[in-house]
Amino acid sequence: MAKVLVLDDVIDAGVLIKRILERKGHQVTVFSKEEEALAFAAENPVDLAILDIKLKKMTGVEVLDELKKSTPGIRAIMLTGYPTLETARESLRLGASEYCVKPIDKDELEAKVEEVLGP
Amino acid sequence: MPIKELFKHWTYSVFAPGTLFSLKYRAFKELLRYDSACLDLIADIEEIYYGGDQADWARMAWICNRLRTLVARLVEHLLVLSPSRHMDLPEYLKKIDFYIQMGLDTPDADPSPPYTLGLDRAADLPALTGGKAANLALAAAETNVPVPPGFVITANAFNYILETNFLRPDLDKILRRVSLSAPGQLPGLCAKMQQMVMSADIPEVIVSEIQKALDALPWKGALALRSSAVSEDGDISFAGQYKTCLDVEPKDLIRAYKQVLAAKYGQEAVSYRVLNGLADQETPMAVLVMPSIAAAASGVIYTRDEDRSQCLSGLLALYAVPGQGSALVEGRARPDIYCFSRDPVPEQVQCPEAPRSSLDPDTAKRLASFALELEELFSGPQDVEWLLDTRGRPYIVQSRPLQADRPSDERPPPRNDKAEVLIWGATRAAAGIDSGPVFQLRDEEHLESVPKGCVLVVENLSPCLSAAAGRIKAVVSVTGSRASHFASVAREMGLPVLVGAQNAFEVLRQGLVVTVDANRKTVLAGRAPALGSARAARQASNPALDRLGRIMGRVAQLSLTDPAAEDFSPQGCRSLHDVVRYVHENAVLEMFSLVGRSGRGMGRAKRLKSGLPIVIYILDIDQGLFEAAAKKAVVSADDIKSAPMWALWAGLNSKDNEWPKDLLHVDWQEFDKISAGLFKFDSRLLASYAVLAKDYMHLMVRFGYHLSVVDSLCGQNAQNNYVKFRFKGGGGGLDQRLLRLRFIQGVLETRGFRVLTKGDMLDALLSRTEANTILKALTFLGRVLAKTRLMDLGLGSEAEVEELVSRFLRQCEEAEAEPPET
Repeated sequence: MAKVLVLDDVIDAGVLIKRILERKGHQVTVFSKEEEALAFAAENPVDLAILDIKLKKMTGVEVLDELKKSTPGIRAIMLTGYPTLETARESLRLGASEYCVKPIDKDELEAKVEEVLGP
Repeated sequence: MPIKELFKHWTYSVFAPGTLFSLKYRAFKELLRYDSACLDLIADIEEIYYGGDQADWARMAWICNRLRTLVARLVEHLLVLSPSRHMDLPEYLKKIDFYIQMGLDTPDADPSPPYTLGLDRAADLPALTGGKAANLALAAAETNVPVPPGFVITANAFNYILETNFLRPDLDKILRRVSLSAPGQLPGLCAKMQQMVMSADIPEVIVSEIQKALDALPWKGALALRSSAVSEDGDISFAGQYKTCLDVEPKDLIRAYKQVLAAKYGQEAVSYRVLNGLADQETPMAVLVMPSIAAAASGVIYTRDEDRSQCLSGLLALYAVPGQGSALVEGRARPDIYCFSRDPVPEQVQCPEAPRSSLDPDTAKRLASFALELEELFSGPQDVEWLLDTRGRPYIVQSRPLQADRPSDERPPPRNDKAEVLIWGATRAAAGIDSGPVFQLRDEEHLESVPKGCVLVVENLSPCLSAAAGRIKAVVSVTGSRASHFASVAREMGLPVLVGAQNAFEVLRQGLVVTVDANRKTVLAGRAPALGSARAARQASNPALDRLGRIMGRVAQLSLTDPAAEDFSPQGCRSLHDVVRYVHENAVLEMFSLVGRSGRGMGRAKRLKSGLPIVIYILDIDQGLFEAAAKKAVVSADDIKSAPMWALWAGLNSKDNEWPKDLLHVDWQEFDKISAGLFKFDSRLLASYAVLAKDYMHLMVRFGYHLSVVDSLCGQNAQNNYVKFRFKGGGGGLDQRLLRLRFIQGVLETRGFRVLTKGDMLDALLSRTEANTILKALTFLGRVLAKTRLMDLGLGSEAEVEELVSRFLRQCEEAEAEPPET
C-alpha cells in the first residue's frame, strides 16, 4: 500500500480524495498549505503526490519541481480545475505521471492512482 | 451565460410563454443543425481511424479541433433550451475537451540556430541534420570509408523559413484536404504547396550562414544537394521520395536549396509520409550540400541481399551502372550485378558476364568491404549508394538500413494448381502475394487514374509510383531492378513487385483479374484463394494513428447508449460523442416537456397509439395534427396532419411487415401508468419522439438500442424539400451492423437517395425535389425502417444481403402497385 500526499488549497477537496484512496488501503496525508506539504515530504517517505495547481503561494507545478528535487523517485498526479497546455507540458516535463482535470470521479481517480503506482 | 439565460428563462416563462416557446424552438432547430455537423465529423474521424481513409495528421487535428468547437456550441444551445438542468455539463465538457487538446499538442518546430553545420560536426544530431546527413557524418567520423566533404543546412533553417514566411497555417490548411482515397486532388494541392515554398523568402541570416559554410568547403566546383529530412533513412526510408540536385553552380545554390525544400511537398513524398503516419512538422527538411562529383560509374550495395533470382541469397550484392546512378535508382536501368561473401575480406562469388560499367574487380571488392564496415557501424544490413569519380576513386554518398522483405511474406503461397501461369521467371523486387484486376499505366502522368485495388502494369519502376502505393495490390514492371527506390518503398510496405516481365503489356490485359506471386516470381490468372487479410497488418507503426488512438476514447467512442441508465448524465460523458448523444436526447426531451408540463403554447405532447411495438410521442408545433386531436392525450394515425409523418407512418405500418409476435408485448396499460400521459425517465428506452408541423417532421425513432433520425421538410417549394435519414448503431457485431447498413444503402439508392456510410453510421439524403417524390420516398423509408428492425440478426454474407435487397424491392413494388387502402 502506498504513502500518498495530497495538496489542495481547498481542504475539503483533499479530504474527499483521502477518503476514496484510504478505502483502497493507501495511507493518505492531506495538506492545504504548500510549505507544510514540502516539509512533510522532506521528513517522511512519500510514494505519490497528488497536487492541485492553483494553490495559495506557489503553483502546483513549482511544488512538483521542489518535490522532484528532494525526492527524485516520487510519482505525481496533477489535478486541476483550471487546465492549461502550458502547465500540462511543464508538469509532464518535470516528471508528473498524469495531468488530470477536475471534476474527477471515484472510478477515474482510483484507476489513475493504480496506473501510476504500477504493478 | 447561465445566469443571463436563467433570468431570460424565468422572465419569459412567467410573462410570455409563447415567446419562450419560439425562442426555444429556434434554439432546438439550431441545435439539430450542430448535432448533424458533429456526427459528420465523428464519422470522418472514425473513417480515418478505422482505416477507411488515409489522411494527413493536419486533417486529423483539424477534425478534432472543429468538433471541439461545434460540441461547445451544441452545449450552449442545450443550455438555451433548458438553462437550469445540465448545469454541470459544461464542466465535464471542458474536461474532455482539455484531454483532447492535450493529445493533439505536438512539440513546436524549433526555428533557432544553427542554420548550417559542417559534416564533421553533424554526427549524432539527427534532429538537426536529418537522418541521411547524420548517418554519413557518423560514417566519416567513425570509419575509413571515403565520404566527400560537405555541410548541412539544418532542419531548423527550414522551420525558420516557414515561420518568417508564415507558411505553417497555410500549409496545414492545404494538408488537411489531403486524402489518399481522393488522389485526383493531390496534384493540385501539392503544386500549391510547392509554389508556396518556392516563392518564400530565405532570411538573410540563413543566406549568409550558407555562404560562410560554402567558403569553408575545400571545393570550388559544382555542388550536389541532397534531401536529409528528419526521419528520413531511419526505420522509414523515404527512399527516392525527395529531391537530389546535381551539378549546381554555387551561384544557384539558394534556388536549388528551395527546390529540395519544395520537393517535400511533391505528390509522392506527401503520399508516402501520410501513409507512414508522420506529420509534416515531424519531418522538417535539412539539406546536405556536397561537391557534385562527375561519376564514371555508380550504384548501390545491399550488404545482405535475400534475392535468389539474380544474386546468391544472403550474400552481399553490388549493383553498378555506368555514369550517374539515377537511372538505376529510378528503376530504368538494368545493372551489372556482383556478389561477394560477407567475410572480413569479402570474396567475389559472382560477376556479370559482359559488364557495362567501368568498375574493376579490385575497386568492387574495396566498395564491398566499405559497405560491410558500414553494416558493422550501424549494426544491421545497409543499403549503400556509391560512386567512382573519373579518376577511379570510390566514394560513399549514402548509407541507410536495408529494407528487407518482410518475414511474413515468406510463408508458403496458397497453391492453386489449376490456375493458368501468365508470367514466370520474372525478378522479385519485393516479396508478397496479392491479386486484383490489371491496370496498365503507360504514362505516369496519369497516376491519379490508377484505380484502388488494382495490379499495376508499368514500363519501369519510377519513384513516382509510390504516390499510388497505398491503393494498389501489386506491381509488374517490364524493366527495373531490386536496387531502385520504389522497390525499397515496396518492400517496406509489403507490396509485391515483379520486374523484368518483358511481355507484361501483352499478357496482362486491362481488367484481367490476376494474382501476382512475387515469392514464386509468377503471375497467375484469377484470384488466389485465401489472400484475405494477408496485407492487413502491413502498416505496423503509424505515429499519427497512434496519437489519434490515444484520444479516440475522448473523441468518438460512445459509451452513453442507454438513456434509461443511471450514468446517462453529464458525469457519465466520457467523450465528445457522449456529449453529442446526451445533448440530442435531452434537447428532444426538453422540447416535449416544455409543452407537456405547462400545457401552454401549442398544446401538450401526445402519444401515438398503434399496433406496432414502438411508442411515439408527438409534439405538434404547427398543424402537425388535426384540430380534433387538440384535446386528446392519445392520438391515432388518423389524427396526423403532417404530410411527411403521415407518409413515413404509412410505410412503417404497411401490412406486409410482419412484426414478430414476441415483440408485440409492450404493455400499454403499464406504460400508461408509468407515463401517466407523459413519459418518464424509465420509459425512455422504448420511446420515440416526433416533432411535427404541417410540412415538417423530426423523428427520433428507437428500436431497442439503435437509433434512427428522420428529418424532413415537404412543402410547396421543391427547392427546400428534403429527407434526411441517419442510422447508427444497433445490436450485433460490427460485421452484422455493416451488413445491415449495406442492405439499407442498397435499397435506398434505388430510390434516388444519396447514401454515405462511414464506420457503422449511414447517412441518406434526398433533396430539392417535389413534394410527391418526397412523400413516396418517406413511405418507402418507413418500410425500410420496419424491415431493418425485423431483419434477422443472423445476416451472414454479402450475397445474402444482395438477395435480401432484391427480394425487398420486389415486395415493395408489388405493394406499391396495389391500390391504396381506404
